[in-house]
Amino acid sequence: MLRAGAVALVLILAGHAGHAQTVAERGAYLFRAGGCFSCHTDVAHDGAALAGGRALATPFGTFYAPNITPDRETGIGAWSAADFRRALREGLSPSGAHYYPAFPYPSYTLMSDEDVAALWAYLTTLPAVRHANRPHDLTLPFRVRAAVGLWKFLFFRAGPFQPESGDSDEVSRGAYLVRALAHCGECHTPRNLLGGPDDDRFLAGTRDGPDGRSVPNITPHADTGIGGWSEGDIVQLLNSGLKPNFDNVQGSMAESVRHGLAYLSDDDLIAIARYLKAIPPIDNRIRRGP
Amino acid sequence: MRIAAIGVLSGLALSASTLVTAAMADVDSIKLRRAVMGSIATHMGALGPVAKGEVAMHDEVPWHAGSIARLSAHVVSLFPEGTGEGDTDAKPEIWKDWAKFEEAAANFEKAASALADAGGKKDQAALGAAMGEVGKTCGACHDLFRKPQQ
Ligand code: HEC
Ligand code: HEC
Ligand code: HEC
Repeated sequence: MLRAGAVALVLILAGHAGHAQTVAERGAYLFRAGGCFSCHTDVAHDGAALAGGRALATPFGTFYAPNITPDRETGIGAWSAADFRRALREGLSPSGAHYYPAFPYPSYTLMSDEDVAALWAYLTTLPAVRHANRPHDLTLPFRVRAAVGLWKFLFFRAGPFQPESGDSDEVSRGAYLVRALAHCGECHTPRNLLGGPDDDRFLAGTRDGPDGRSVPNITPHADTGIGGWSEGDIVQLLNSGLKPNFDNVQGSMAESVRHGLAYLSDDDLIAIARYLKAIPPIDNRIRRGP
Repeated sequence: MRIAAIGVLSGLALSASTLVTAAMADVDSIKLRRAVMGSIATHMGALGPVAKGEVAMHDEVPWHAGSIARLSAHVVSLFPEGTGEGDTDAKPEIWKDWAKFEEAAANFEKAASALADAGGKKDQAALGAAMGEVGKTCGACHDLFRKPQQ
């Protein structure tokens, strides 16, 4: 009942991509699930896909996501599959420098080897675009890349993802999508003063999210989270950006939906919904109102 | 409790002159339009589970759907010139590009009228389709004319 109903409505709300077959097609799907497009493309200025340049305002300064097209000079065309794997799984550049966690590798590290390889296979099929990277505009001490080493020492835990014993396959799939690929926690989990995720309040929302905006609590807490939402409500939001009252999300969540989550299969969206219903509810009021 | 709150608002909105008077006297256009938007959203939320097939078709569906259509006719009048400042998420673009704003409101009104038809017939499939269409018009207007929530 839920599935048929939610899916029928969802089909009306957005177009739908089928299941991937070849490795590169599988990679294309993971690319959507990972939300790579919205950060690495300067959509607001009609920038070429994945050629970089989008500004990401954070409390530590402004980051400009780099060119990840296969252009040999300005993109990652000269990289090997191993370089790519190291970037996603360890947060290290081919020369061994630390990446800033504005690149959500603390989540991507949880990806399986197979998925990282498929993503790489897909990226190599894309058109190369020549577009030089813009340097980040950061405040001290974060301007010093080596400082990221300390951050990683404190907060970075290398993957890959390990399913919780006792979780059903469906909930494990949901956990993998939420934590490894779709990196929901990068926005929805509050951070401490050093910018490390507060794992005890996983997905409990924050008033200091990306672009200085607040991000709602999406744990199943009845009053302050989304405990009142049905699985169908969650699927609808991820597929179309419409909340249960049909008001739409805006800002960074709207981008995540439009360029990424809306492409996911119904099975995957239902898995995410089941997982979000299974995590511990946390009392943390973010939204205005009583 | 929830139903009562919606009832008061739709009752208020049912009388077009109440709204127009309130807007003209600038009683508090901002509060009023936010309450009306909230009321539209509450009616939509009441229909959502039926549209998704989570709750069976029931007797209040025509009323919710009809209320949305009636409220939709007043959206434009809730944004008088000079009410862009204060406790509001309305973007100044509304008054800079009034024709476009009116068009967004007209699209909503049209979709809401189809929703009222589907709701009136208590046709679950048609309701689902009409909700999807209305939902698109809400988002289309918000994306252009409402600031993202802080
Ligand atoms: C939240 C925004 C964001 C998302 C989502 C994101 N990235 Fe990035 N990415 C960045 C930023 C910012 C950097 C630069 C980090 C630095 O300079 O330390 C980066 C760097 C990279 C690099 C290193 C490029 C180089 O020239 O050194 C690669 C490769 C990369 N991202 C791939 C991906 C892939 C693949 C995905 C999707 C699975 C993805 N990114 C998703 C923001 C993002
Ligand atoms: C780039 C940051 C970002 C990422 C990544 C992100 N979100 Fe969001 N999310 C937001 C923001 C900001 C909002 C509030 C948007 C609004 O109300 O206009 C939001 C809203 C939501 C809401 C609506 C909650 C409510 O009470 O209205 C849900 C549900 C949600 N997100 C789930 C998810 C899930 C599940 C994921 C991962 C699959 C995810 N989000 C990834 C930023 C993000
Ligand atoms: C013609 C434009 C337009 C249409 C159509 C529209 N809205 Fe709105 N809506 C707005 C604007 C502008 C605001 C911000 C009002 C303010 O803060 O003064 C708003 C605010 C809201 C709010 C927040 C109310 C609050 O308490 O601040 C909700 C919820 C909402 N709209 C839901 C909806 C839903 C659901 C639909 C469709 C069924 C819809 N709106 C259709 C323009 C529109």
